[in-house]
Amino acid sequence: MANVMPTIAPQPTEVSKPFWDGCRERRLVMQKCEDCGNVAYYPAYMCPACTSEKLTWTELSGRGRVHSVTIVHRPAAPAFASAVPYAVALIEVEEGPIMMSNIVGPAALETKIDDDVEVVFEDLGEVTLPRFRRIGK
Amino acid sequence: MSLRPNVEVAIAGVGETAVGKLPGRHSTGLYVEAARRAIEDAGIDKSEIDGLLTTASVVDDNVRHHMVISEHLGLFCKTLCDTLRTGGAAFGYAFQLAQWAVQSGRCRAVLVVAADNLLTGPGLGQGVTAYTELGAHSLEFEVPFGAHIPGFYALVAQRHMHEYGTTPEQLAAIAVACRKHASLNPAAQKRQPITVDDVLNSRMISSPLHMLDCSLISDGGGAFIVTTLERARELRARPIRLLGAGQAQSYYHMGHLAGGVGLPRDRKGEFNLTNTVQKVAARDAFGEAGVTHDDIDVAQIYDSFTITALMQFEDLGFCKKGEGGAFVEGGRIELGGALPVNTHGGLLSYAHPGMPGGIFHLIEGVRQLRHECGERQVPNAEVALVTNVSAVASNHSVCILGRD
Ligand SMILES: [Zn+2]
Repeated sequence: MANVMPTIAPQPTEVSKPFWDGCRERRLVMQKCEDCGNVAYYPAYMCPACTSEKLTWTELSGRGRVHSVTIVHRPAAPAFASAVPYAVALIEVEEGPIMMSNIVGPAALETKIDDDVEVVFEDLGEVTLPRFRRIGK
Repeated sequence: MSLRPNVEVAIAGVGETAVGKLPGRHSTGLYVEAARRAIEDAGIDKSEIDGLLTTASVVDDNVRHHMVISEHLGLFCKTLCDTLRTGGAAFGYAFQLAQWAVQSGRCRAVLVVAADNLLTGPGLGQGVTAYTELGAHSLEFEVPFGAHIPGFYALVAQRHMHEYGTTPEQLAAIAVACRKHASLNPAAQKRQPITVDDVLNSRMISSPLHMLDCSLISDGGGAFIVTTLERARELRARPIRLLGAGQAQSYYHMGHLAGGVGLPRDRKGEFNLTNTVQKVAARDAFGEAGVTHDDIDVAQIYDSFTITALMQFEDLGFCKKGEGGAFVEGGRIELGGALPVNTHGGLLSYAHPGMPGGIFHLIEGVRQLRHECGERQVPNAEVALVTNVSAVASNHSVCILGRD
């Protein structure tokens, strides 16, 4: 893929490794609570809704809706200088949680709140990032 | 230990360094200068100070920063001493901790001091980058996507505009008011008046926030001393009473904040990006003070970005949710308006040295109630409201001050 937006790579931890491994396999996975059904994000040690420890990694649909979006013109760090302007968004995934990501692909900079989006996985060397693109655009 | 709620507390002295560009100054030196000025302003003997609260330094941090400062100040034995990590919200917290310490009799006088040289300390120009990156909460789940503090607040602003029709012009009105007030303050860093068009035409940082929607990067520091009202009345400066205070904290991770993670099911939706827990802090502050919004003569509202301030008029209860944009229009928040705001110029035009930013709101509240603000004085100001905010609208403190 040409001109993939760069990153400052995350460092997976004991609790988050399945999330990042899932991205590498092109699966968006989060932990679902067996007791109350809550889906947790970011990766948790305990269900933040009911305190249960019975959390099961579950594959999500990969679809979501834009909760908010901003076009960044001043890069967050030198690593992102080549990518401006770029879209940073909060995505409410179909299963409930809200996650930060980028909107990439066609017309990404025209993204509006409530746009439907779907996950795309971008390989950036040591990590594969879950980013989103607009559906039907 | 029992609280003695009938013991009223007051600010007995305040002090600040010059602000703006102070090349060659070390943050510790600024700390000491601000502290000395507050001690001198109060006319208090240093031996009476047995509490010290600092907010560290981005440029020259130490895990026990409060110990370094107490050594420089020669404060050997303290019964309250710590470094607060609540960033820009720290001063309302510090005031409240000092209140509790003084009311309980555990401290006689508490010195709160904060300073940094964010503008020149890291090398000119680097401070912007340092502070912009500093705000990133999650190295694992936010930083990889190129997010920074202005971007976080931009996400809040976009949501507010989407839900309530708030406009960039309304956001800009806050920057214009702060600059107008700074133009009347000889100590302010930026004093050239600006217009709404100037804000809208300034460089886009992260939509919808332009450069002039964003606070400054500065060097400087401030300090204040809290003791009992009774003791303060014996000292040099006019005491300013703490009528009421409140604090509330939610989350820093934007997804948690927006989604109300962990809230009981029946309270989901009560708090989100545009409905902050400042409502809780305000409820407690107004409740303790026993005053109403109409009693507030002047307000110092934390303004890291224009959107930061705009939402507070709603969450503090000065207007209904969604009406913050209309509230700030038409000069209401300017000197001469119904609620003059940030009479020193705020973080947008007076100074923003990072962690210490909020202390200037508190100091200005005190100076307004002492009636020593010259051209920018709100006539006959009797009651002031001061807010501090940090961590992207998630850490809040609200103080209501009264002239003795
Ligand atoms: Zn659960």
